[in-house]
Amino acid sequence: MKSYPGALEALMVQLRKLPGVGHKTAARLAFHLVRRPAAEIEALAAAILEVGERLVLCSSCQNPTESDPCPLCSDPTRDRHKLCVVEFPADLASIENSGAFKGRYFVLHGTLAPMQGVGPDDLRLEKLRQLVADGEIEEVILATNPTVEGNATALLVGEHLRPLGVRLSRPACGLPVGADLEYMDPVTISRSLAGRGSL
Amino acid sequence: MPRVKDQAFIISKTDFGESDLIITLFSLSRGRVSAIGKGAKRSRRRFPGSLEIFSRVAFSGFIKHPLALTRIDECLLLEPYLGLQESLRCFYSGCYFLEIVNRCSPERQANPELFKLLDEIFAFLAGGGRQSNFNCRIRLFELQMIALMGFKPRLDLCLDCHGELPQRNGLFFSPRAGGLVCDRCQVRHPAAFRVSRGTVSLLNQAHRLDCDLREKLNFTPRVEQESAQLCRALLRWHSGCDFKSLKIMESHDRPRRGLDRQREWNLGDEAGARNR
Repeated sequence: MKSYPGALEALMVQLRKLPGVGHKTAARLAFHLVRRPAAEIEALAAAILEVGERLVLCSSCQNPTESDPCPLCSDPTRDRHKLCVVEFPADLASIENSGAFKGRYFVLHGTLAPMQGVGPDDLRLEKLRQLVADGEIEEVILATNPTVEGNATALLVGEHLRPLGVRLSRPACGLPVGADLEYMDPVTISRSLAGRGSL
Repeated sequence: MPRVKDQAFIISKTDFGESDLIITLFSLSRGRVSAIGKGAKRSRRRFPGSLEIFSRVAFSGFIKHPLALTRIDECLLLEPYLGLQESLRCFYSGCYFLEIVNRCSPERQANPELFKLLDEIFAFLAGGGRQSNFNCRIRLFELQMIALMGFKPRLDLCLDCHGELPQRNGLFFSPRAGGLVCDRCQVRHPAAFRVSRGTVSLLNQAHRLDCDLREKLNFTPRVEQESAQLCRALLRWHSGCDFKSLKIMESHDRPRRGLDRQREWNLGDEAGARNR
C-alpha cells in the first residue's frame, strides 16, 4: 500500500470527489499541482474559494450567478414571453452560445432518474410553476435532452404546467448538421421525417 | 480474447471520462453484465442512438478477462420501446422492472426466460398503459419475474411447521420463509403479515394462467394491495434494500388513486366476481 504525505493524501481525497476522477487521475492531478509554482496553486485555490463564496442560484431562473437576479433575467431586451427549460446550467450555456434564443431560461438541475432515486420532488418544479404563474410567459420550450430520461422529464414538466394554459413546445428532433444518413439510427430517421419542413 | 455477440436490454449508463460510458446490460446469453463503451458518447457510427435505457440492442465486443468489464465495440438498436416515454406511469413502471433485474438477478448468469419476460413487459408498457387492468398486469409481471429469478413463494403449506394451512383466515406471509406460515407459527416470523385466502388462491392460479386470461384478469383492490405488499416484501428481502423507483412510482400513482378509488373498487369487484 502506497502512502503519501498527509497534505497530498487529503488533496487526492478531495479530487476523487470530482466527477470522472478516480484514484489514478486524482494522484496524477495532485502530483501535477505539486510541481506547479506556488502562485499558480494559490490562484487555483482562490478561484475555487471564490466560486463557493460568490456564486448563488438566481431566484428566478436557478442558474448559478454572482448577482441575483442574474444578468439574463434582468436584461430588459430579452423576450419575457418565452421560457426555455433546460436540465443543467451547461445546457443553458450551449443554447445561449448558439444565439438562437433570446427569451428567458429555467434550470431544473436534473432529470427524472427513478433508478437513482431522482423523482419529481428533486426537480425545481414548484419554483418553475410559480415563475410561469406569476410572469408574462406565453410559451414554455421544454429543452431537455432527447433521451429517455429527458423525454420523461419533459412529460412531467408538461403535466405540471398544462393547467396554467401556457403553450408547451419541444425543440425539433432529427438529423444533425453534417450527418451521414447511412449511420443514423431508425428512431432519429423516423423523428426527422415526422418533423420535416417544407422547402 | 473471446469475442461476444449478443442481444441485451440497457439497464443503466454512467458517464466515464470525456467520452466513454459504463453500461449495465441484461444480455440474453450472459445475464446481467457491466460493460464499457469506448467513445460511446461521441461515436454515432458505432453506437447510433442505441444506449438508452429500455432499448433492446444487438452488441458486439470482447472480454479481456472473465471478471473484467466487457468492452463493447458496436451496438445496434433493435427495439427502442418508444411508448415508454409517452406516459409517466409506464416510464416509472419500466424503471421499476429494470431496477428489479439490476438488483436481484445474479451477474453473468444467463436467464433467457427472464429476457423474454422483460421483452413482453416493455411491449405491454409501450402500449401506453391505458388498460383498465394495468395494475393487475403489473402485479402479474412482478410475480412472473420473482418466479423466474428463483424466489417463487410457496403458497400451499406452512413453511414453518410444514402443516396444512387453515381453510379460511389465519394466513400470514413471511418474506424470510419465502411463503406462507400459519397463525400458530407466525409469532416466530416478526416480519410476517396477514394475507387473505382469496389473494392466496388467486396468486396460486395466476402462475398457471395462459396469455389470453392474463390480459383479461383484474384484481379487486384488496387482492391488488395484498399481492403488491407480498411481491415487494419478497423482493426487499432478497435484495436487502428498498427499491428507489418503487417509491417514485407509488407517489405518482397516489393522487390518481384518490380520484379513481371508487371506480376501481367497482371495476375490481365486478371483475373479481367474474374471476371467482
